Amino acid sequence: MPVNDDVISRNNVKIIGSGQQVMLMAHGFGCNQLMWRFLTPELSSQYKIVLFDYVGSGASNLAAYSRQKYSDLEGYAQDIIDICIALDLQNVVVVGHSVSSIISLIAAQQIPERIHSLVMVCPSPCFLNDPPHYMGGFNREDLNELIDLMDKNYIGWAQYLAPLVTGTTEKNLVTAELTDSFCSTNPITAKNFAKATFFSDYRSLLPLNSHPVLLLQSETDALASLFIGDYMHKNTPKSCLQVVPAKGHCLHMTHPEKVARHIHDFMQSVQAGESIL
Amino acid sequence: MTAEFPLDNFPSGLVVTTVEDRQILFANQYFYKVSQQEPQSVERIGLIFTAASKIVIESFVMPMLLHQGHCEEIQLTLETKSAGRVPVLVNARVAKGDKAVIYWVISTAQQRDALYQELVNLRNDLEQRAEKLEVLSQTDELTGLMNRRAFVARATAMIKQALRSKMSYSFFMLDIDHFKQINDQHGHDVGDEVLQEMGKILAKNSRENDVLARIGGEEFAIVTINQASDSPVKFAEKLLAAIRAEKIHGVDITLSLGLAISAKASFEQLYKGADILLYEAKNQGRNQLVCRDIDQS
Repeated sequence: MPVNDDVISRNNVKIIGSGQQVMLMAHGFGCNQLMWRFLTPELSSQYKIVLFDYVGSGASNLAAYSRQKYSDLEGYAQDIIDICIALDLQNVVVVGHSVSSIISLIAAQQIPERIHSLVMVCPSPCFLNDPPHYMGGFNREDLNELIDLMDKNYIGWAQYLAPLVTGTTEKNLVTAELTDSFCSTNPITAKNFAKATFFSDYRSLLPLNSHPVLLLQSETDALASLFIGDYMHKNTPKSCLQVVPAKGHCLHMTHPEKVARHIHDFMQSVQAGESIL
Repeated sequence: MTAEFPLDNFPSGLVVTTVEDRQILFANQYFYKVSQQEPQSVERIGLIFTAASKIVIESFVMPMLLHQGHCEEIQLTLETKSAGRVPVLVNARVAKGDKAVIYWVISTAQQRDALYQELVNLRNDLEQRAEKLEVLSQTDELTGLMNRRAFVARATAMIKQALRSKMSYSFFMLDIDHFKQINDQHGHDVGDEVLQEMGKILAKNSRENDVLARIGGEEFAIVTINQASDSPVKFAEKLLAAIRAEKIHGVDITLSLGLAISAKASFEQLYKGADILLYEAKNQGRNQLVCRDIDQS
């Protein structure tokens, strides 16, 4: 199996677990692949789990970062596609948290033959309100304020101001390493990811879905309300909605055993060929 | 000092919540004062923050608390009834036990916020200036085209790309015929206008991915990757014809053009080749194209 080492190191790809079925886990905006560490012990005996960091997050290779490429979700989807091709993965279950649910949907529509199914943890196709029929939860002003707030937080930055003041160009800057912080609000990559995530609208992709989809919705989630879970379910063919009796936006961190059980049940029903509509 | 409730005297909001939905189990008076809430009206800590802060909490604060058990110096914004938005600094840590809880310390941060806003403005200003300078350093002031320095960088990169994808490429070196006479007869103002018009005509007739620049006094250059659909000779003839068709300031303008084509030459070799061909065109009477595949010679 030819392996493209560039992609493996670029995206800091890690493979754990055993089993024939491949499960690729895509972290959401803000953090890195470490956010899966509560869920992986629940699944690693049955699945071969592929973990990675998007370029610009975690321990990815910053030299591969392009502000333009990663200014929309298609750029992030390309990371998933590249990894699937580099490792020649087949029949992949992609588990995506939050915005990565939509990123994995974009990827699945480009390499449908490699994808088995999609598990979406707390997804939203559009965070912006589009009244009267769609309430993503946020106004444009809220999201501008988010960008402003990120500027005023110094989580995981790697010396941003100093090189700028001394006239170092962005090109030199991005060859610097990211700090080993779990999360990051750094103004090059994280802000770009925030804009790609929160200002986008991918509702039109939902009806084009052709893979089995498990939607895991939290009872109370400040970023993805029950309305959004319902909207996703109604507009995504072959989807199955499970409202997990839990609160918060990080179900895979707070309730890994429940998330794992839903994934097992979903996989069994898909493999048994049951209708999940 | 209030003996029964010393925590109420701290000039910081002190709050204890559950982990899952951050339900308030305890909060001191300062917290209610600064958030302008009544104890019975706010059940969960998340409710006192702006929508943007909620995203920061869900995307950064909670993952960090769940992953590493603590987070420090997170700036958020309170939404208050009469004081509007109040910037605050939040520290939090998870205490594990029979029932895990989160301890929060919330301090107002108006001055810190003002300082940070200044830094953010300064950074944005620096970024804009750096961008402007970059554009200026790459642009020919008179024509608005790329200057020689930018041309060398872009054309070199384009040739490397063509070599990687095993495609041939062309270097067009263009020189306005008898430009010195135009300057002498009509004045430098007209000379400058001729250069500007020339830049416009070349830009109009070039394709989006062509690298077009003014590289010297009356010299222009274009580097392109050759397309099967459009031969470089035809493109050169089209440029010559476009110039001949225009009268600039009542002056008839013609061009001499050296065209070097290659699939293996370096930028420098190609540049030199096109320069030699341009001089051949001049020597043969100007207003013409001399073209060669320099890999053959």
